[in-house]
Amino acid sequence: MADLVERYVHQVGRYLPPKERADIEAELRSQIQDQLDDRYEGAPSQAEVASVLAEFGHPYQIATSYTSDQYLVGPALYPFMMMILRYGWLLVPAIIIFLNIFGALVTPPQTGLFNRVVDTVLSALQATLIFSAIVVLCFALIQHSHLKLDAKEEPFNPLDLPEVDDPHTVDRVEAVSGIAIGTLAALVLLYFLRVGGLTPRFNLTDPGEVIPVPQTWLLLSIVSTAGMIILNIWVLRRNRWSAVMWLAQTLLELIGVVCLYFVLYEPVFERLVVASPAFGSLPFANNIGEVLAVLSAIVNLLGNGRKLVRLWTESGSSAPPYAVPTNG
Amino acid sequence: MTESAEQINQLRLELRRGVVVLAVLSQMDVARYGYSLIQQLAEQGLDIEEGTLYPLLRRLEKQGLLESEWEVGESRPRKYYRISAVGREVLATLSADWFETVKMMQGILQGENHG
Repeated sequence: MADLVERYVHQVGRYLPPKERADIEAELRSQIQDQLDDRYEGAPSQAEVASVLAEFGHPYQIATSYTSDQYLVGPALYPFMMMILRYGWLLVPAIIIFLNIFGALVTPPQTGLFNRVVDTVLSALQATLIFSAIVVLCFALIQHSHLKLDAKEEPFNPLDLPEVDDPHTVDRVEAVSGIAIGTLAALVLLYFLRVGGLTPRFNLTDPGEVIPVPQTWLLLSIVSTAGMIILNIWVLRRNRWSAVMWLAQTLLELIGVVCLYFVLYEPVFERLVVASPAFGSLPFANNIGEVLAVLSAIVNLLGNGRKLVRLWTESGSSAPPYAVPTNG
Repeated sequence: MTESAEQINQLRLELRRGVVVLAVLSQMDVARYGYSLIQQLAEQGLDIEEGTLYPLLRRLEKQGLLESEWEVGESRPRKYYRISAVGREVLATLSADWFETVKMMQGILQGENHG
């Protein structure tokens, strides 16, 4: 009889927090015994003990009712985590596939196409898994260090809600993603600066074959990326775009497009024309870098221009488009 | 169990959840151990499962509403719980709220607009 109670208490204890385990086990043992004494007096049979234990419920169930809700990432942080994960699940495989294609173009692979495709898929999968694990780990740390994503504990004021389609509104996820991607890009560019050019192999001591790149443009692209990171951090803190800030963002993006031409398009396509005469014989093969740069600049201007015009025309009135309540 | 019976059961559980805390606090002027409290409440018509009551006692203790002490002088060691000073204040407030809620709900459920 005692053996069955012990077996039950032991099973409950397996799921209890170590700090409280001994105390809860002792209390549970005494509670079961009280119930057995009251109901059966003397020595209850194995079946009678079993029926009392069945009333207590499954060991796991009773153990969890002793502990408060436990989770790795709670409901308050979960939507933020999923938002970042969804961005990453699109972006990370795309970057890996791009890097692999870039690598294959620059240094034609020794292995067959099938193996190259399998390698690309596997490395994209691996990078996505690592990315997901890091994001979940970061959020778990935030959850268990009791930090809050939005540290400001200001009371909610509906009057502060931004206008629908207000050009001043800062898309915080976009800004944070921009900072993260910008930081990654700056690190890659710094690496290229250190090894003297482009290479898909990220190894400082053995970078493999390097395509030379004008150092001045490489340096300028690092400066413009750093500028964009700083600007986005500033915007995040200010939580509002101004016309001047958006103009600075647009200009930095345009500088980035020009840098991209000198740092990436020109050296890579030049190498491609030399490596593959078939590619060189294609129309626009010698100007493809310029075409890409001009297209990127047009897309950038069209994308940012409308917002810039709206910010500029609305900047005449310095007051926000809603009434700000004053205390007292 | 049919779907609606299951739904009623779930809603009944939700309805009882807060009441159980109030009922437990109201009985803790005298030091009691878990099983004696189950019996005490059952005698007054409130049946609480062991798996609900025992963890609740510990939770209320963690919140500072109950105090506990192991009694080792008896045939077997038992943990006795008793209401704390904070618990007494909470009980007074919750009791007042309860009577007000009952009055209000009676008005709502038996009022002219009901049904």
